Amino acid sequence: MKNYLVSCSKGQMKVQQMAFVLVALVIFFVIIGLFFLSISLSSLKNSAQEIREKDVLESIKRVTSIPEFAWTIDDCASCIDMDKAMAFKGRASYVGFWDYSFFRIEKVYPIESGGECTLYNYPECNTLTLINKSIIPDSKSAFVSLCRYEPEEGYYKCELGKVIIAGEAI
Amino acid sequence: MMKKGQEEIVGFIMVVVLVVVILLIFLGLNIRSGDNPILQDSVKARQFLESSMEFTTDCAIGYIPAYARIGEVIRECSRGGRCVDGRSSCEVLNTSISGLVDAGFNIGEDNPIKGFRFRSYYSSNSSNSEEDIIELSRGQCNNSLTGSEYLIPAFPGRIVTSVELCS
Repeated sequence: MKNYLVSCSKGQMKVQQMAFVLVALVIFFVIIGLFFLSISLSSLKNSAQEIREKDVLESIKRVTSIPEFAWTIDDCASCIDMDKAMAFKGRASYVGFWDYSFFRIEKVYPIESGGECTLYNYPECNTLTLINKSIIPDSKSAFVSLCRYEPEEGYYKCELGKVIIAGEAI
Repeated sequence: MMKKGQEEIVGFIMVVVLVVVILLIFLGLNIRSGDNPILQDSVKARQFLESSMEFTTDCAIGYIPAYARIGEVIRECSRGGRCVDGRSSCEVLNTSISGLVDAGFNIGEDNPIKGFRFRSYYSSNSSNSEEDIIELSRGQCNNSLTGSEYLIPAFPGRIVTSVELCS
């Protein structure tokens, strides 16, 4: 009886040892798997982010390339004619032209102190808000070049700006 | 004939060796990626470069009001040219690029973008040589880099302008 008990506990010990090693190996490979998974998921997130950014850029390019905004003095895809955009502001015939809830053109550099552009302070101003139905936190922006005619010295001037849009149409 | 204890030790050593080899592979991969950070193309950086190249500086070349755009100032700087008012075109380029980057991106230790690198160089098609025109950097750059390049034709080569954003 005593011999049987001793051999049984030895066998159990062996089984336990093997089980521990197997569990350790499984945990180890699961960690490795998770590591690979996190790497592949992060790259997936990056590509999703990139695709989203490209989509936003495309929709902003579509908006800025319409004749009402397009800079036609020279070949520049990322340029907006600010004089045209200024004339566009407040036109009753364009109400509801876009499905956006927010559309703003913002001067990035050089920074002016004029605030919102009006007929009185243009071009010494910073922002030109064309649609302001509601400010959605998930707004998208893209860098553009804001070009205009500088009448005092008689040349075309371009500054760095941003187009910020929000709405379901993006 | 091996004893059972010896067999277990051999098995244990094999497991340890396997673990060490896998860890070394990961370590090697990490160190390699640390040495050569991969530059991912960034739409934002590309937009920034494209728009910045159209920025009109206060450097008139030839006569007033022929104020040059950044792209033209880079070309002028590569030739060692000067503005009408006597300033060096490279000096104007330096000031303008710093202003554009600072205004365009929030760079800082507490921000998503920790640093940037702006470089413009002339690359000759024939000799594969690179001549630096301007190089500006700010902040800390870790492994994660995104950026973009912009090419300006400059016969017989080209001027490559790149911006790298470090996170």
